[in-house]
Amino acid sequence: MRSTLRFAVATFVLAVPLPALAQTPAASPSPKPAASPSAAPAPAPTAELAPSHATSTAPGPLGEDFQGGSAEATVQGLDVDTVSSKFLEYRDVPTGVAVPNVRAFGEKDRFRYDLLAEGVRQADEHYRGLLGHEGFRLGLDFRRIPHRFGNEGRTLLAPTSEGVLEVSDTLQRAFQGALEQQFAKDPNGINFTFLSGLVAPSLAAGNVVDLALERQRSRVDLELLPGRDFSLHVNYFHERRTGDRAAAGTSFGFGNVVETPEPVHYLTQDVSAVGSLERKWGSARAGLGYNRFDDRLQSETWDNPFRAVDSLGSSSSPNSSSIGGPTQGRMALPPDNEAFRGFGGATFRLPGHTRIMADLSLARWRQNDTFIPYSTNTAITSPLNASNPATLPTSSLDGRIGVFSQSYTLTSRPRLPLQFTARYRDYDVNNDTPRISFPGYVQFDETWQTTGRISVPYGYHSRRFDATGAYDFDRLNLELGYHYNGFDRTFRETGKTTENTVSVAANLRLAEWSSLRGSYERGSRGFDHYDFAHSEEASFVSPGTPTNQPILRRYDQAARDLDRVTALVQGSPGDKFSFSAFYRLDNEDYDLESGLGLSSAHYSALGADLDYTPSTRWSLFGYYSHENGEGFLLGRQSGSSISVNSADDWTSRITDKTDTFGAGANLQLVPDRWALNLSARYQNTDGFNDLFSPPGGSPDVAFPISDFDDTRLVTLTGELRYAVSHGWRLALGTWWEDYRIRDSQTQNTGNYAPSSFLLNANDGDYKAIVAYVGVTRSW
Amino acid sequence: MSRIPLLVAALVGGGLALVVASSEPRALASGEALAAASGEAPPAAEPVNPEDCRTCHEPAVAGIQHTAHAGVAQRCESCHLGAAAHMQGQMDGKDTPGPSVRKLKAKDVTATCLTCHDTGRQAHFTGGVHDRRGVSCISCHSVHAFKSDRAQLKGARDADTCFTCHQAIRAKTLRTSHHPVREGRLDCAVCHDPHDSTHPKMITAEYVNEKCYECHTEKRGPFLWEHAPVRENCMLCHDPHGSNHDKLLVSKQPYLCQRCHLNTRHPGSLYDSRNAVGGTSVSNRAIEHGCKNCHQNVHGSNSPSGPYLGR
Repeated sequence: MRSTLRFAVATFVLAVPLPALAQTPAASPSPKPAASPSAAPAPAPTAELAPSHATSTAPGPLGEDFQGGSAEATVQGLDVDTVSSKFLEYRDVPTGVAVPNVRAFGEKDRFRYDLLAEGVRQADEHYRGLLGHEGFRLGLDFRRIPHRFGNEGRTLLAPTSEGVLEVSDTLQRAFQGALEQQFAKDPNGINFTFLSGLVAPSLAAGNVVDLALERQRSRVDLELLPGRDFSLHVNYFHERRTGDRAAAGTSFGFGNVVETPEPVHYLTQDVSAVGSLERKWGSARAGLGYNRFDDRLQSETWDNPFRAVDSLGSSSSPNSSSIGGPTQGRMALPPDNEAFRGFGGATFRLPGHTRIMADLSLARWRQNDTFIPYSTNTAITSPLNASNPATLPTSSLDGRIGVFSQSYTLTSRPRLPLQFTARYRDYDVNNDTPRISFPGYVQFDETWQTTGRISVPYGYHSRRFDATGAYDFDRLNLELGYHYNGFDRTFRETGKTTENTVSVAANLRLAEWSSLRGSYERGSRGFDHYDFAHSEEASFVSPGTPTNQPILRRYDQAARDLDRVTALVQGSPGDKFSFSAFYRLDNEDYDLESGLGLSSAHYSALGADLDYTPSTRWSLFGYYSHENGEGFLLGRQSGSSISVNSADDWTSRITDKTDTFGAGANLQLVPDRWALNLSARYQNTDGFNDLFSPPGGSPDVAFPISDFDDTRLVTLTGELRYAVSHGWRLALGTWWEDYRIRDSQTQNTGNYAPSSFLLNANDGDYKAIVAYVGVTRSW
Repeated sequence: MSRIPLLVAALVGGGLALVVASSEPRALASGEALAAASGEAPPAAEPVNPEDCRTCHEPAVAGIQHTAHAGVAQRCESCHLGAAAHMQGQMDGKDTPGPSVRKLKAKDVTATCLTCHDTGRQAHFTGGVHDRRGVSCISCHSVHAFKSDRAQLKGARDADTCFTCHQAIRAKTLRTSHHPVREGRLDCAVCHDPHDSTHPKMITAEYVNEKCYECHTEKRGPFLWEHAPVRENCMLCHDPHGSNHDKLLVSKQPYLCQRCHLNTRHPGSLYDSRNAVGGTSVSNRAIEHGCKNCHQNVHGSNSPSGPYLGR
């Protein structure tokens, strides 16, 4: 707090003499441009934008040295009614003194600079420096991005070292002892009531954990000889990600889910260099890049609250059949990986407004981290010692994927009203990772499974061809198009799917001040063959009877008809008023061949935007949209063998309807002196899962879920500004936000639900109000 | 492996072609060239003095003041052909119309800007979907009255500019599960290049997954146990613009997973309100993270005991 105050004072001390160096006083902000057919309506401000700062420019002869900038400081108060992480999900809202924005820019002796600091010393701070001269441009950028998933989760586990979460040995022995005692007395007494009563007191006194991670991103961007015939662009990116990811579903089986915070300690680096050559005939470019991901932690290890001693268990432990199991579980965290890439391309300008663009890219992805053992469970010693890594068939994957991408585009306007474009893209992912056979595996660290498994290196090859032809009838531009997408897959149900789409689009200039754009696409996808067992069998050393429904058609490969409609009308009748209205429809209908799977997916949206600026004194804006989403799924419930009884079917029709509304006003109460900005935004989504099952089978009946990710977000902002004198401005502002979520599956689970330890971290409702006073100095 | 020689040969051949074809450098845009393209009368030998234009067009000249456009060779007439004639006519008391770029057709506006900006990514604008839909440079950019810190956009941030036409996407970014676009931590231009005509959906990567890996590099693998749809396309399960379901999923677990997994026993079972919080038969396959309560490594597992992505 004190250091922030010092920084704020220093900023203003620094800012005061800078205007003295300026040649002339700052000008007032530039007015709104007059509307035109191709101009868009005025954009709606958002509550998250910092109060606008005056980045005025000093008038004077064009092209001469100049400097300008602004510095803003606020004193802010915050009141929020819950500890929900949602309020600060991606941002920091400080209390006390804050420096939301400082910027300095200018040009001196043809050396141009632009320095920016946002959210100084906040969890979401951002610093950017742009420096340029005739021979180079240098960009430096650093930002922190928080991501908060849930607050005040509760757990029995505590970190004892990085990546290791433990329950006290005393507690583990106590729980194991209680289970053994109950099991000896009456195994059927091992039920939710018993387990809940056993763990509740310890959970109530358990450890509190906030689930959050932070990205610290830095980027250095250097361009040599920008704008010249040859330029070189070198880029370096560095990101450190630390914290705990939204909880890992770490589990000891169906009967013992133990939700844990997954530790994140990642480092991503990327370096690339691209050379570009510009000539009258076109341009050429080539470059190399290297990307590396490092995960400091190879695995996460966590205790089983119910076991102090390793033993064999079952997938349903603890229950009336078994109370055995491991003392710990271990899960592999994302392995280190790297990618090399080389790319090149050229653009050729030809007569008749024709150009040809070609790009090639070759990449190699690799991963070769050492495997963790099959299990932590020292009790699994037959047929092999599962906790000894020496029993693994190999020590690492030697993973390799080759990626080859080609893109060729021809666009031409040989005669003025006629234009055509053709494009071919080929993207080939060749996964030549060697396949590894395992004699079995350990399920949930509980027991050895004797089913031999073999790894499956999925790959694919996508080919796309697009061709469009358009004719300009002066006020109407009409376009016809054809699009082809062929997709070859390895180890999947289909070998090849092909999708053919035709499209028509029209741009109509209704008047000089108004335009209408519309498009329609109709696509149809089919496959060469569908072998429902192929993918499943590929991962077994000795495939048995497939367990997936033979009549299921997976929606990424199923035959499908696609209809897509878009329409957008925009207009600016006069200088004061602009409007736009839109409609969008995406329809996917899957041909399940009387089978099961995703039958259809629909999305539609419509809305309108209005902007009214009768004078420089005031302006209003408003927007509204309504969205409808729906997915219809056909399923079938099976027992230990595949059901062929249609009475066992069930359906799920998931819908969500979203209404979004925004409005605002910008008022110059006293021109160049008092200004008032108001805005409001509202979004409400109502989800519903309509479930059905015919009577007579199993499940026999289904009950819908009405609270299905229903959310509402309301944000109101207001800011009053007063220009004290030239270059100084005061602001008094507030914003209020109300978020609500209702969901039957994720809210209020408690810390121990049937067969599950859950963190129950708070990412739910909140109401918050922020008020601030601020001062801005601009020059 | 056979593709590497092909690529090398293409690059070498292309390089040789460049050396052989290296001719005079690309000519700087000139009013003469622009005039020839548009059929307008070429500009006067001496460019119009912007200070003269400022007499009537103070805000426009002030807006261009300290930008790179202030230093172009033909000054205002670089883009506003006929400015001299307009000024002369006004001084003569005639109502000679001004050479407003806004009144040009979209393709002519684009041609005006591309006389200088036909390089780098902007060189791919022609023939792209924005170009074909009648979107011109000044639909998004403003030379005289921009609001952004970079790229001279009409909106304070590029998302504000994009949302003037992509309103449905604006609504999606307001959903509960979202990328931090509305918080200003991520811009549309991080994933999309609105000038591009060579990539589907104008993604600034060779393929959608490669774009996702830039921030989510831990998903690149390869993994010992892969999950096929993850390898194939992140958007089979995720909607990057926003969703009401956790983790930007297009649907909620377990129903999303059941689109592909109707196996025997629990994957194919119906989960309804009885299995939800407060129901008569609460199930850890339906509550909290659903399938991911056990199948944590849904994007791929590197554990020898991870064939079901649970380790």
